[in-house]
Amino acid sequence: MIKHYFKQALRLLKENKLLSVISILGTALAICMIMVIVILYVVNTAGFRPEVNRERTCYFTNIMSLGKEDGRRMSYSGIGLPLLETCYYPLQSAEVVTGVLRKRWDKLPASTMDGLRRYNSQVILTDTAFWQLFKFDFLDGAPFAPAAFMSGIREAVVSESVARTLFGTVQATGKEMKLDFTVFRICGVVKDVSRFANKAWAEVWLPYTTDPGYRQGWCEGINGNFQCYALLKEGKNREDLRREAEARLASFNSTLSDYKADMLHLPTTQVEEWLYGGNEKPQDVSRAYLRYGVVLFILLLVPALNLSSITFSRMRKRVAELGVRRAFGATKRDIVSQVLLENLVLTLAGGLLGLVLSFFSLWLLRDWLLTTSLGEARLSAGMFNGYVFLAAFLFCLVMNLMSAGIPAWRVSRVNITDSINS
Amino acid sequence: MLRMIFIQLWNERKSNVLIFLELVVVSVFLWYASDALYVQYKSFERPLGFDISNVYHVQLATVPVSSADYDTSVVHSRKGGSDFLAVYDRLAHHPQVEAVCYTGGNHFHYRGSNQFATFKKDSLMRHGYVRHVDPAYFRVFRVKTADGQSWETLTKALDENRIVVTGTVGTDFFGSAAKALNQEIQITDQGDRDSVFYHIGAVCEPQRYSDFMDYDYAYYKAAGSREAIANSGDGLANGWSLFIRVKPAADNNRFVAGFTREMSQQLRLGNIYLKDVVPMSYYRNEMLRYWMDDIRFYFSCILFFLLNVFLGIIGTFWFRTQQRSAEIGLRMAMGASRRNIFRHLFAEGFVLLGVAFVPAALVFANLMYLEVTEWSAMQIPVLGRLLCGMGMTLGLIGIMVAIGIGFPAYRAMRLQPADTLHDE
Repeated sequence: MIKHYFKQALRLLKENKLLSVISILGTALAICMIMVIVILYVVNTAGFRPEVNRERTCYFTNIMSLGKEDGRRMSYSGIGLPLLETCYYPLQSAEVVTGVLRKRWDKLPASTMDGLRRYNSQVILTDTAFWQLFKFDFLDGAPFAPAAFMSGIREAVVSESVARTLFGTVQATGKEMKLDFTVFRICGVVKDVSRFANKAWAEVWLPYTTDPGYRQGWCEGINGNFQCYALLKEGKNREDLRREAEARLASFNSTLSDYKADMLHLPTTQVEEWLYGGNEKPQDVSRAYLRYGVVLFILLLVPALNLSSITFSRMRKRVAELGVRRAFGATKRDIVSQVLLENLVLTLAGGLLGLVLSFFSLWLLRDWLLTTSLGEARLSAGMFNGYVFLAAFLFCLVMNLMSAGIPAWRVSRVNITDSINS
Repeated sequence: MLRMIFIQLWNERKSNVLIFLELVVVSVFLWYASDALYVQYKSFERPLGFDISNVYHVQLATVPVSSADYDTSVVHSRKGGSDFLAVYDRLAHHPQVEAVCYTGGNHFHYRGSNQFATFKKDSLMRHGYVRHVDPAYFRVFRVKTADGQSWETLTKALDENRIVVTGTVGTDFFGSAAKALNQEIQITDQGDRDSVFYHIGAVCEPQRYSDFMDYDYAYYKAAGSREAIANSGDGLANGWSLFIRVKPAADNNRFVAGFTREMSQQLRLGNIYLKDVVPMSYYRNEMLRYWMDDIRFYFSCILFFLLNVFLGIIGTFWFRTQQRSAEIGLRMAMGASRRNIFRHLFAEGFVLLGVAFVPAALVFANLMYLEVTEWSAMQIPVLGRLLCGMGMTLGLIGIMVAIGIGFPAYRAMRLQPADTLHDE
């Protein structure tokens, strides 16, 4: 029976080409808009290499320091090393805790020893836990070793692009380069990272113990330039982590004379970090989801109304045919499911086209859709999971129901004698 | 004729209801989106209070102490501030540079690095910013005085070690910018326990942090004398920012490359070196990205709605002309000209839009009343805002309806009366 419906639907598609084109285009347009949103949501929140643990990662990005007695505002900035070492590194609710110094606004010139080849690179200064939290694809060598980190030996992990620019090959382990007038030995080369992985992304990664200013801080060690990322232990949630960090912070504060630290609403989750990263006040994520919901609903509703009126006018033409089917014993349910299934063919065709269009528009509009705070990012196959396609299919089903539901229901209720008469 | 059209629309209500609903929904959202764009545009077009065109941030840095290249002599390390001043002077003498200035610690325009301050007078208290600048700041960023004069008065005030407040501070605390001159205001800088009473030396024009933000409170004070700088360490070059205003004739897209090549040697002094020359527009784009994304989002929604209206209208009316070819033939046989038929269909479409727009306007008025629409601290005349939003919505949908109907109507016009009546 279903096969029969499909055949009929295809026949009908050919019969009125303009209406079919309009229906398919309408669906494609809606699915395209929705899929662009879904894809952007996925690449910004779901895990992919090297940020494979996004679901379980919490971010301590800033810290507020206040006057101890009067609570006056002193500073709101990155975390200082003493605070990081006493409060965050020992966190028991976390499996891995890493401290990261990112030089957001200044790139460092990496050059070959003779200075002939240069690459202005974004640098992350970090510890060894960084390589456990993020899973990089090493093309050559390995991350810097704990011993090297402890003693501040100048070793560097560089990205494929840096290695190729400086040495013309990715086999660069053991070679030396100059970074900001200082000589570093390359210990590993990793595949280039997408800027959507905005916590892990850089072009050169160094142990922070090699930076002369890494101990630099103010407000009695509360503030500095560090950010801290923690991977939750299995079975622990963010609240556990927050409670533990609060307790440690309180005991840290008791050792200070003039200041006290306040971590505000932190730590944040990946979704919060993406939506409201760096915001001083806590933001309600459910509001953002509500906004998404409204937007998706409207994106579905407008074309659905549109397609409904087209489907309806098409159905009116076929009332006689459906009347005959009723006369020969088809139930209302049969009629409804026939109309819905026929329409599904159109919707799926439109959905497929829409999905293709969404990739195309992502490519076409990469200048602004794919621009992150770190620069232009590229999509790669690794970022997509089955969810993208499942979502596309689900949205098609909803769309189908919304656009053909009312016409189907109305056609099924037409009186048999009337319809045959017409 | 209008009555006829209404009667016909009513008789066909069953097939019209869905396209009618679509027009209502689309009108509401299109209005919402164009209203949001209108508000953002209004906010965007207000003067900023400073001018970054032709302004570049000259990024300096120091050789790390751990490097073999580090110069440990006292002149260049503990008193490396004098090297900073030498760099400053060399920049000032560069033929392509119109003016140079430095700012202490914070790089505030478009960079989100600030020191806050609390302004107090009697019972009025406001939060704002403190900005440590070189008097030449006003020249580099072309900041005018509150009454529209150029930067000289402002520079003079800082030279005399008095402070400059923005116009917003002037009007909110003293009634007007002119009245604020030589008045006293109590200010607490972020982190300080005590507040200080300052005499206001000059008032500059109201300033905003960035293009989509509102006017804020800020005051400027001198960042430190030349002697103080000369006596500080070379670390100064890392923390403080240098800005240059380039002569318009010299400013083009090759400027950065040429300037860097030419000056790298000259600006390598003691432990200080030239790291990068960044146009201020770069920081601006970085900061505005969030708003720009919003605007692009609204634009793509508008485009999406319009395309849908187009598809819906063309679908419905195409089908209708097919269905009604008999009716059209009959009209022709009764003496209607082709042009009449064309006009009739057009009128039908626009009446449908007009009828749908009434409930849409009611819904939007309610949304506005409930303050769901774009919020802004600006005082925008409501009537102008409504008319602008309505005009844009109606205009855009109108165009789409016209295009959507045009083709089917043209087809209807070309029908042969004999053929169509033949079907009957």
